[in-house]
Amino acid sequence: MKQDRAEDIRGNPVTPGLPMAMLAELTHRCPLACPYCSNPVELSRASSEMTADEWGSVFRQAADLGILQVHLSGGEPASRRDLTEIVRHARDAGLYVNLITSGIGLTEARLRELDHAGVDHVQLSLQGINAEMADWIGGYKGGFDRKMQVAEWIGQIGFPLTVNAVVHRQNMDRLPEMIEMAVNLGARRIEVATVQFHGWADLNRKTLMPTMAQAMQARAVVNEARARLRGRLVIDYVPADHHAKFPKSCMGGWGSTGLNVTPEGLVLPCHAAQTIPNLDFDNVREVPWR
Amino acid sequence: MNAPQQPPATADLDDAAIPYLPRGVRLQDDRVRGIRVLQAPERAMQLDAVGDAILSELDGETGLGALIDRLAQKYDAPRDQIAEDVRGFLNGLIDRRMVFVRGRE
Ligand SMILES: C[S@@+](CC[C@H](N)C(=O)[O-])C[C@H]1O[C@@H](n2cnc3c(N)ncnc32)[C@H](O)[C@@H]1O
Ligand code: SF4
Repeated sequence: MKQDRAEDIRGNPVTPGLPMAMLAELTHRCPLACPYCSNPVELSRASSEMTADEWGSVFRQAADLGILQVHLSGGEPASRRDLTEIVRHARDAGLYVNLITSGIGLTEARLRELDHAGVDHVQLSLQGINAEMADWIGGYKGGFDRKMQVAEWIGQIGFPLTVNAVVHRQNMDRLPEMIEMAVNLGARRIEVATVQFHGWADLNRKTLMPTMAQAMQARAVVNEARARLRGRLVIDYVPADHHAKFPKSCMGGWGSTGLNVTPEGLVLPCHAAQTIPNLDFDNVREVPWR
Repeated sequence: MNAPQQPPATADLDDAAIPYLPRGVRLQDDRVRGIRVLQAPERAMQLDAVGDAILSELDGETGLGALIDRLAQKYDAPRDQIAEDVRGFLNGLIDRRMVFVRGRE
């Protein structure tokens, strides 16, 4: 490729967009063990995680690159004891801060700290619509009750809330109840994400892949709920992609809308990039962005 | 059929309605791209001059009617046209929960 102009594989000029969002995987540690987890099967070790100050430097570089929003995720971000400090760094860099969490590890006091530090929005993942299902899926007893408690605090503090529900063969038929739960929790938005086959999900593909009939039914449920809940709940739906004739296009152009940074600082164009053989990625600790 | 228990949140905006940007939705400069953006959960929307002008007027106290008056005067444009633009624009954002209306949240 010539240095002065970006080209696609056929030599056509392309104008890469500036990335708008960044997914910061603060840690791979997590008290839950969802079988659909998109995290890599080879987890980064706690000892190699970037410090809060290192994240601060990454956030400032990201903002200078044109990134507007940071999604703090993992693993479980609440497993980082210095989460509040990390949030503060992100806000100081001028980023819009979205905390993506299962809720486990958050107390009311911690949530109030996070509020003061400047979290703009919380996305809470559901493992199921009742304790039996959720604790079985997450492999964590008491997790559901804890999450409901966290959701209540989130509402009291006034964080805008999105509920994230990963749907798969085992739970897709309960989608109407998941949507109802999002309404009851006071969420402005629900993300219904059909399981994407990355990381652990790929290993558990057989038990997770929805049938074509389930996928069609889910689409109908979403359409009905969108009309009924217009102006009350926004429903973002990631449909199943394995029933399509052709694979979906990849990320709308690698690195053009978003970046992933792993706990130890690897910069990836998407979640699954590391599973593609023979690709090397830079570490932001060694190769700064500017 | 019984009457719905709650009015749909996108019921027509009357002149007394007070639209506002709720927590989690921010109007700001994008210093790198040199544009104005509306930041919301998982979205950053580029605003044109009209959108920016409308949203910049939302102070959480002014009713829609007064807001339209203000904009019509400021931009020296026919009130009817401004009213239509403002209602259309705000209704779209209300649907997406990026603008709230006082008393209807
Ligand atoms: C990997 S989790 C990390 C943050 C936190 N532990 C949580 O569960 O919210 C990030 C988000 O991705 C969702 N997710 C996990 N595995 C997924 C998959 N295979 N496909 C689609 N979404 C997935 C989760 O529900 C969560 O909302
Ligand atoms: S989806 Fe979130 S909560 Fe579930 S195992 Fe993965 S990181 Fe943990």
